[in-house]
Amino acid sequence: MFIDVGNYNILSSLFFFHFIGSNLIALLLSARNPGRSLFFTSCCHALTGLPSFGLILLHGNISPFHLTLYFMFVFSCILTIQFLLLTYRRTLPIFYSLISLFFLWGTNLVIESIPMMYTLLAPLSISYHYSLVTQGIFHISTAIYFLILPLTFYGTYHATNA
Amino acid sequence: MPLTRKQSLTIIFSIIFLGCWALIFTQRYPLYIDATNTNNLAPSLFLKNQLSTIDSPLTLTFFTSDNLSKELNLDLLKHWLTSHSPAIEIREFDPIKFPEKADHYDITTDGMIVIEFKNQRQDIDLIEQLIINESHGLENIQNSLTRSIVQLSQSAPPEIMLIHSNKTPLLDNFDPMGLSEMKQIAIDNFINITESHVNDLSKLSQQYDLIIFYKLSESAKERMAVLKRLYSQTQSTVIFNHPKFSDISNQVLSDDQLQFNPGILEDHTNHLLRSETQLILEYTSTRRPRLVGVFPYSSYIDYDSAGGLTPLASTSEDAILRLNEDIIPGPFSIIVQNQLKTRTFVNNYLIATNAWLNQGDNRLIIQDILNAHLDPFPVILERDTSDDFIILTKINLLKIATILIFLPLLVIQLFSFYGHLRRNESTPNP
Repeated sequence: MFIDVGNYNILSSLFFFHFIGSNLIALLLSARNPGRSLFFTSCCHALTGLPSFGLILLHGNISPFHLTLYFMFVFSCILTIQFLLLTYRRTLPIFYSLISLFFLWGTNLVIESIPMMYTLLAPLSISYHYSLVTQGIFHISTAIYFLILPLTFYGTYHATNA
Repeated sequence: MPLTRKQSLTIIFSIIFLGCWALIFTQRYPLYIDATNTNNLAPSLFLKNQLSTIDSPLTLTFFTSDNLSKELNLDLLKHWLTSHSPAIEIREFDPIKFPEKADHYDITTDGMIVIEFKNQRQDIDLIEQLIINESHGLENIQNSLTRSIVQLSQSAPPEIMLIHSNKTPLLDNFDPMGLSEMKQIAIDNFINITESHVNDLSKLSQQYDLIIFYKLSESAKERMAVLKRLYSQTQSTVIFNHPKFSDISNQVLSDDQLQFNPGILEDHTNHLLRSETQLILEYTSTRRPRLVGVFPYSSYIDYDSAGGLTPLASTSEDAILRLNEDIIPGPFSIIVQNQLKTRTFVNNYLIATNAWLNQGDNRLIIQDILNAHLDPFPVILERDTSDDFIILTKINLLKIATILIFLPLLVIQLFSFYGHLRRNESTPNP
């Protein structure tokens, strides 16, 4: 990719495609039997982007901490997907998980059209924290989000199966 | 004991509620780490120290629409600002939705930041910053904010002395050749600027943060000793040279590896329609954005680049210098600065005059030259957003081959070796 394009300034687009790709692969891969094993397999899939990121890292366009932060965010989302699939495993898991992820991403049409709502609800959306993480800002709220997001769906799964 | 469904749901909803509350609540606080290479959004140590000395609140009122705020990612900027000191207060109004507030501050457009401190006020126009800022990054706005905060909170304004050999005062002269507009730039930037004729140099007693030697002519010859002493003793100087009197300016800087030249440059491509001597040049500012200046009747500067001098404004390759019968091709350097940004040499005096200050980006160029000498803070450089090509050198080829081929192979080999060992361990020896 770099040799064809000859350009290292593709970090933002690489982040986006990698993030969407990793989550989509995690969703499709884990749909039938979500759990620990497929979580690790999905994480390994996400890590296949490392050579590209590594090249950018060596070129100095991204710091190791920034890259670690991004992968922590990806892993947190993959873990959330596992719990989402477990929660909806009885009825159309992919469909409902996908709908849930769309809502979690934060739809521009609904939230952004009402400024007060956006100010209040944006920190609850994946897109808000994705934007912070890709810009290299590790805010305390993002750290909380890393934990709360999978924990919420773990709890939802636990509650629906208790 | 396993939890009942009711207990589980209670815990879950408590976690969700507390989590959401924590997420929204923590947004108010600038509790973040800048993980980027540049650390541009990390709190500036200089600004922290500067703000630790102030005893009154410093208020920043953002007049920005929601769209512009999101487009420029102003939330990050606000977090960056508030991370410096609790004395910084930030307010935000949409000028369309709150017209009474906008009227109160005399704001008519979207994208203005009003900074107030002890009855002093300074405005930053975000749209203007965007126009001169190619990458549309926050760095340029951060620099402007830092400068404004420093200018408002400084205990005493910087002092500039303008030394010239004009018969009449220049700073209060509103004629085309006067410098009243330049004085206004200084006033707008909270800088004290005074002037002195070369004959009155003996009256100077105080130390100046910057001395500008402006268009020294024949009458300066008699005061050369004093001028040379002033030049060498003052840390920060700018020389606006009249090409016709280059020999006089050259005498002032006899120790420097630099020479002003008298020949007027022409450019057949980059010039105003009126004349080929009215050059259009690209000026590289200290903050990286490129400005386009109009330089009439300029000459060039000969300098030794090994001495740490860098050109800030140079002509194109199409520029020429007619020297008797010969034609010398460009490019030529017209503004040169040393690495420490303490000495700037301009082989043109007209760009600072009222007649030419408003041509092109000349106003911004003059402002940039003055600020480069007076800014006490480290400037945040803009991100380089230009394409960055791989040059297939030996070391780059080695890096690519290592990352794409050798390292993955090594990992696979290690895993297979480990698997092989495990298989051997589990197989009983015969």
